[in-house]
Amino acid sequence: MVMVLHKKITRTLLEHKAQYIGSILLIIISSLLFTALNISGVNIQDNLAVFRVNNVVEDASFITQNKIDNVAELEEKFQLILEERKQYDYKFDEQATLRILSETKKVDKYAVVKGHLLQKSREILIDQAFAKAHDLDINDELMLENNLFTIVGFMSTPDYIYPLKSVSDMLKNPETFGVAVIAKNDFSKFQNGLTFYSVKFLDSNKSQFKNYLTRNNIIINWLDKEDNNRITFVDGDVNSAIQMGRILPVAILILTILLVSIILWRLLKTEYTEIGTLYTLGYRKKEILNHYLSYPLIISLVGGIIGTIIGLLLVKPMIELFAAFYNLPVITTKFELTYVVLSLFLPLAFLIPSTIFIINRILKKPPLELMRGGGNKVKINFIERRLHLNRFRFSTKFKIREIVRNIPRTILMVAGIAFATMLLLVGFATKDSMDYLIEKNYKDIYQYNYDYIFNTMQFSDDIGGEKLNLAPYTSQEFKNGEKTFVIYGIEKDASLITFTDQNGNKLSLDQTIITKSLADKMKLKVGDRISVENKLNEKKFSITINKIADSYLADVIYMPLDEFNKLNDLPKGSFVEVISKEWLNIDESILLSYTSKEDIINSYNILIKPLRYMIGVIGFTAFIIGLIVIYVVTSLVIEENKKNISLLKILGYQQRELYSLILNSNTILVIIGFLISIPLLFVSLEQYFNAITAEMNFSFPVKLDEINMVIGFVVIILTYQISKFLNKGKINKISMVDTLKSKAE
Amino acid sequence: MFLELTNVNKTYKTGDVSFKALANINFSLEKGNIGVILGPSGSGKSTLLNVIGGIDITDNGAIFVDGKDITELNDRELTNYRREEVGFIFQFYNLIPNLTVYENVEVAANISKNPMKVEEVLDAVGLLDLKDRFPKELSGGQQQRVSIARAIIKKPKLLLCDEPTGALDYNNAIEILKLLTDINKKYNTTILIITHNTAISGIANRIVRLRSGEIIENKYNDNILPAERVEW
Repeated sequence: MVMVLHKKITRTLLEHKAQYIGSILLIIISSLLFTALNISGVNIQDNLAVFRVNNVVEDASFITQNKIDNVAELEEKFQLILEERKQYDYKFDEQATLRILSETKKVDKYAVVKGHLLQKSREILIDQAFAKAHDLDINDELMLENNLFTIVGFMSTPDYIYPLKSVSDMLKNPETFGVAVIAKNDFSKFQNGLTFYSVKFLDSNKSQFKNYLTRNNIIINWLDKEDNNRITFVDGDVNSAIQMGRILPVAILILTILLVSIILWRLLKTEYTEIGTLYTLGYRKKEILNHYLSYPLIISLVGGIIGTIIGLLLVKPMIELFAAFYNLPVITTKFELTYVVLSLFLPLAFLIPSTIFIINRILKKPPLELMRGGGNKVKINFIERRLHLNRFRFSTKFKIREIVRNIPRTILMVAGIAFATMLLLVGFATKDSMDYLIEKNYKDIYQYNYDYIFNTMQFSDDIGGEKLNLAPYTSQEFKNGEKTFVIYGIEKDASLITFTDQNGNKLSLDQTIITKSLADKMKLKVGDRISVENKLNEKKFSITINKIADSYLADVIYMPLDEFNKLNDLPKGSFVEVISKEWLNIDESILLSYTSKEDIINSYNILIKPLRYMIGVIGFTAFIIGLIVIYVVTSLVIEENKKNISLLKILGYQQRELYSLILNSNTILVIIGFLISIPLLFVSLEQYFNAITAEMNFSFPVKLDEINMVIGFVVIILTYQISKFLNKGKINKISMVDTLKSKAE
Repeated sequence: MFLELTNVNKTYKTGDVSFKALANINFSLEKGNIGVILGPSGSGKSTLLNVIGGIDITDNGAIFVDGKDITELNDRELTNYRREEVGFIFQFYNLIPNLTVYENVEVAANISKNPMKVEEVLDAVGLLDLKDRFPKELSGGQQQRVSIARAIIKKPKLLLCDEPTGALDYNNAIEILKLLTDINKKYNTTILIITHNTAISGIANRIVRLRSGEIIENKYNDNILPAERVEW
C-alpha cells in the first residue's frame, strides 16, 4: 500500500527538480569538503606523527662556544640523545642557498622520498621542492666547492619540514633556499661549516642539561622545538585545514536544513488535502511520516554518497599536494572509515530530525481540517500586522510584505547570501591580511635590506650597520601557561626600525616596546610589568611595558641595547645581530644566518601564488552556493505567489512589472546579507587567525581592501541577477486561467 | 453595441481528445447594460467570460468591445486591454492574502493611467473603516466588496463578474448585487455576470442561457428587478 504512495516521490522530485537538485548540490559540497579535508588532514597528521617518531625529531637544537667532546657521557648522565651536526650554506647561484647538512644517525634522521639512502662518498640527497625549482633530478651532478656530488635521491628531514633559511623567517621559498644531506665524512671538504647539536630528551632533564652546559660551556643559541617554525608551522596549517573541514561542512549543512525544511514545508502545505484524504483512507501517521521522510532521505543519501565519493577521490591528490608543499614523506595513506561514515551520516543526522519535526507538526492536525485544506489558510504574522506602510509606493509595500510574510525563507536568504559572501571574501581577506602584514612590516617598520645574525657574541664597532642583541625568553604570565618570545636590545638612535603606535605616532627606541601581536596574546597593556626568563641562561628579571607597537609580524619586545645587556649580564656594547641598508662584507664563518628583504618579498610572492587559485576555487564554490540559495528562494517566492501572479497578469501587469514585483523583492535581502557578512567575516576570521597563530610567533590582523569588497558585491549581485534570469521562465509559465479556478492556494 | 460577439468558437484539446467549449456564440450588449450569462457547470460560461476578458483566446469569430475587436490583439495589447478597460470580479474574490484591504485595491490602481482615489472607492463599497485589515479578517461579503473596489478603481468600461455571489449567503449575495447595480447606475459601467443562479438574471437587461457551449436562449429582460427584490 505504502509502496504505491512512493511512486509519487519521483514525480514530485522531478516536478520541483531545481529545488531538490539545489539541496543535493549543497550536501555534495558539504560531504566533499568534510571527507577531503578531514581524511587528508588526519593522514598528514598521522604521517607527521609517524615521521617524527620514526625519524626522532629533536626537542631542541643549540650552538655552544666550545665543542662538546663527551657526548656519550652526557647522554648517559641526562638520559638524552645528543648528536653533533654540521651545516654549510652553499651558494647555489646568485639567488639561492643550498644548506648542506651532515647525515644524522640518532636525531632528525632523514627519510628518502625518492631514490636511495646515502651509500658511499660524494652522494647527496636534496629536498624535492628545491630540486624542482632548480631543475635538478636524481643522477644529476652537483659541483660543491670543487667537489662533484651525485644526487641519489630526494629526502625529508624532521627539522626542515618547512624549509626556512632563518628560524625566524615565516615564508619558505624553494627558489632561494633548500636543504641537502651528505655523509659526515664528506663534510670535511667544506672549510666553513657550522657545528651545532640536536637533542632529544628521554627524561625531563632539559633544565639540568642546560645548567650543565651553562656551567661548563657557553650556550650561544638554544632553539626549542616549539619555537622552531621549520618544525611547528606544518601543525598550524594541518589543524587549520581540519578545522575548516569541520566548520565549513556544518555551516553548509545548517543552510541545507533551512532550505530543505522550507521546501518540504511548502510541499506539505500544498498537499494538506491529500494527507487528509490518506488519513481518511486509513493510512497511519507512521506510514505518512515514512513517505515524507523519503524526501530528505533521498536528498541526504544521494548528496552524501556523491560528495563522499568525490571527496575520497580528492584525498590522495590532496595528501600528495600537502606533502610536496611541506617537505614530508608520505608513509601511509588510510581511508579513515570513521570520516567516511560520518560524511554519509551527517546530512541524515541534520536533515531527518528537522523533517520529522515539521511533518509531525502537520500530522497533528485533524484529518477533516487537512481535508479542507484548513491549515492552508494564509496566516498574517505579528510583524505584518504591525507594519505601517501607507507612505510607501505600492511596489515597495508589496516587496516589504513579501519579505516579512515568510520569515524562515527570509532568514534562509539572508543567511545564504551572508555565508556565500563570507566564503567569497575569505580568500580575498586572507590575501589582503597577508599583504598588510608584509607591506606594513617590510616597508614601514623594518627599513633595512640586510639582516645578519652572528654565531658568537660580537663587540667590534667596525662591522657597520645598526647593532642588536637578542635572546629567547619565556614568561609564565600567559593564559595558556608559558609563552616564548624574543627580546631585542636595540640602539636608542637606530633608524632602520621605525615603530608607530595604533594612532600612527612614531615611538622612540629609548623605552620598552612590545609588538601588538604579543601584547594581544599576553593581554598586556602599557604600564604592565612582566617577569621573564632567559631561555639560554635561565636568568630572570622584570620589565615594564612602555609602549605597544602596531606590528604583527613577530611576538617580540624591544628595549634599549645597553639596558638589555645590563639586565642579561652581557658586556656593554655586545651584539649578535646587525641590520643594514647596504650589503656588508662580513666573513660568513662568523655568521649564523643572513637574510635580505628582497628574499623575503620574493618568498612571499611565491607563497601567495597558490592562494590565488584558492581564492578562485573558494570564490566559485561561494558562487554556486549563492546561486543555489537565491535560485531556490526565488523559485519558492514564485510558487508561493503563483495565484497572485496569475491575478496580477489578469489585472494587466506587464512582464517587466511582474519581474520587478516578484523577482526584485529579494534585492534588499541580498544587500542585507552582504552587509552582515562583512563584520561576520572579520569576527570569524579574527577568531580563526588567532586560533591558528596562537602557538606561532606572529599574528594576523584581518584586513579587506575596499576594491575586494566591491568585487565581492558585484559577484553576489551577478549571482542574484543570474538566478533571477533563470526564474523568469517560471513566471511566464504561470497561466491566468488555471489558478483562478482554485478556491484556495 | 458596446459588446458584440460574432461566431465565437473555442475548442480545448488534450492529447487526442478535443472538447468544444464554445460553439458559434453570437450575442451583444449595449453600453451601460447588465448582462447575465446563465448555465450549469461545463456549459462554457467561464470560457466565455475568459475570452471576453482577454484571458483566453478564441479559435475564430470576433469579439468587439467598444468598437475594438479584441481577438485581433497581440499579447501586449491584450494586457493593456485588461489593464485599462476591463474589471474582474471572481467567485472566490482572489484577493492577495498578505496585503491589506487598501493595498489590495492599490494593486489595480498602481498600474492604471487614471485611477480613482483608493479612499473614494473604499468609501463607495463601504469599507473605508476596514482599510487596514487583511482579507482573512473580513467576512466573505466584505472580501467580495474589496474585489469590487479593486475592479472599479480604474473606471473600467466593462465589468466581468464570475459567479460574484457563488460563495456568499443570501443576505451578503443581495448586498453584492445591490452594489453592482449601484455601480452600474453611478458610473454607467457595462456589467456582464456569469452565474448558475437563475434568480440573479432578474437584475439584467439581457439574459443569455448556455448549454454545452451553445446559446440556447438570448433575450431582453422586460421586467428588471431591483437587487433587493431578487429572491432564491
